[in-house]
Amino acid sequence: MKKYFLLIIALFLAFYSPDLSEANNLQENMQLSINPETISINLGFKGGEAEITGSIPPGSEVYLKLQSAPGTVPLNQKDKKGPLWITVEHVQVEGVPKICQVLSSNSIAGLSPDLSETMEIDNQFYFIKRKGRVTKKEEGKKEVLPPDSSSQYLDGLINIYKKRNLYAIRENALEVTGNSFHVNIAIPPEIPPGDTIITAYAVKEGKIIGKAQCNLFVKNTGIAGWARNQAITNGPMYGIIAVIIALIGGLGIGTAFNWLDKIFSRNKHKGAASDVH
Amino acid sequence: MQIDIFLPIARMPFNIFSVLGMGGAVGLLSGLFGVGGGFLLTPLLMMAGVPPAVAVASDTNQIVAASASGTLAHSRNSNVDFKLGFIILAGGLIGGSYGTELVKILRGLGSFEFVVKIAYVVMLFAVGVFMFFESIHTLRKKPGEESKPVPRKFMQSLPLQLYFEVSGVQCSLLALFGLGFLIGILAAIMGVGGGFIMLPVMIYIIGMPTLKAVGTSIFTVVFTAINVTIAQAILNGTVDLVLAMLLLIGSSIGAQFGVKIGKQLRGEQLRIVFSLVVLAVMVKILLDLLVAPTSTIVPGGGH
Repeated sequence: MKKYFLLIIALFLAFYSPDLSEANNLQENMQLSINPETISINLGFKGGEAEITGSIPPGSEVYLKLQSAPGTVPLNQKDKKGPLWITVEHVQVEGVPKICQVLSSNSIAGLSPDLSETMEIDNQFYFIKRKGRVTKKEEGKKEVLPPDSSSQYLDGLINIYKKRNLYAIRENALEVTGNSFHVNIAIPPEIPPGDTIITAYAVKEGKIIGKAQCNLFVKNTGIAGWARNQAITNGPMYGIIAVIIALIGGLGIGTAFNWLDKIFSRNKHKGAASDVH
Repeated sequence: MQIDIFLPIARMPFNIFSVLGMGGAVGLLSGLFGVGGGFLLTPLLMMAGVPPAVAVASDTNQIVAASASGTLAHSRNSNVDFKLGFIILAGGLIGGSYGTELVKILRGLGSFEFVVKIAYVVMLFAVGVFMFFESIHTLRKKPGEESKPVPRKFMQSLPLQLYFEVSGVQCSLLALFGLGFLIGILAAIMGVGGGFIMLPVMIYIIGMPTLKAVGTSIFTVVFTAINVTIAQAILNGTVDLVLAMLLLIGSSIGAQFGVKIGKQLRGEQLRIVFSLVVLAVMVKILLDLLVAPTSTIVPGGGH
């Protein structure tokens, strides 16, 4: 029994060790880093800039992808009913990241389909559409739309994100000097909190010869962080706080105006009285 | 001047002075006409890039401030009939709950949005045109020629009559509660606060003087806005406190000026301006419905 067990382990290692060592080799071939590694979002945040640098095997091209964690987004579809354009369907798009940017030192269109699929990089965001899921609620039940129906929503969302510069393809944007590369990227203000994963591939003669990954961590701090955290985790209390602030603000400004009115009318009366004298 | 502030829920930087300006303009209308102003502010915020769900929820939160500020200013001039307002409000809150259920049923029947949009446009058109011509007619009329409209006579023939000292009107408690109930249902179906419907009802059906109607209407808006803000915070988590705080500073100041301007105008003049605002909103909604959108897929979560 013990012999069989050892044999199975030996066979397993024989089959899988080349893959593991290949993966290790790919990682050893390449290095990747981002500066800064952490971005703090507070009330003064307007977006920012980060520098991505790395090393690659000589003579290879670099393909780089920035992708935030997938999220859920509500979308509406408008259609013409009679003479009017109205919303005809409400859906939720799941599994689509809010940020997706692809940068390269060479043409992306020139990648072979196999390579494109392995790296999940193309210039039409097909790799995003493949992972996206569109659902709608019918009579309280969640229904997943088939690919032919969901395609228009995924295309629509990608277009919205492209217009807001959250999705971008930047071919030939990476500067390669010898065996190192670097690029500056704009961090949009809408970047979601959490990890944005940066993956880089080194490609030579149609093969991946290097792969590396690093993370950009985005965190909310100060009042912005508190408000977001409360809104997500403690809705009722957050709502009550919002109402109390609004009431205090509204009544406070109203009282201040009343006080100013009294001062001005008193001054007016004094002025009028002195005019009479 | 470019001083931006990051909005934590909308997740975007926004120019502080733009927010204050938008809030100020909407607060002015609120103080002047006793409406919440969400019909104007929500599309403005969306045009500026705020996600629809955040625009609706934060707008409602600032309406709490603008209407509280407006109520305080109107109450100083004895223009808020609290007794009458509470009765209509009670009917409105119950009507709103039934209206929400009715929306679910109507949605199931299909073409709900089409019917609602058409009904909304027709209602705004009817209210706007009626108020405009009625006010012009009243302005031209000689003093002492006033005639009592049929709905007002009917209201005064119903049981449980009460006299409202502040407004100087006598009306049935049942009728007021019923009107509040209907306004609540309509507001829930149309997805609006109800100020637009409330003011004409108070003036033409209950027979309140225009300024008292404005003051009492804005008082009821405080409670409906509180209700919706808490519901939005619990269900969607989309109230942007930073955006709402900036808006409310602008709107509370604007509401004070609105009340001051309103005091300078005659009731008929105020109604003419209000009817023009109603007609402008109607035209804007109609254009939104008629003009083909640049994309048929749009961000969701709004009204």
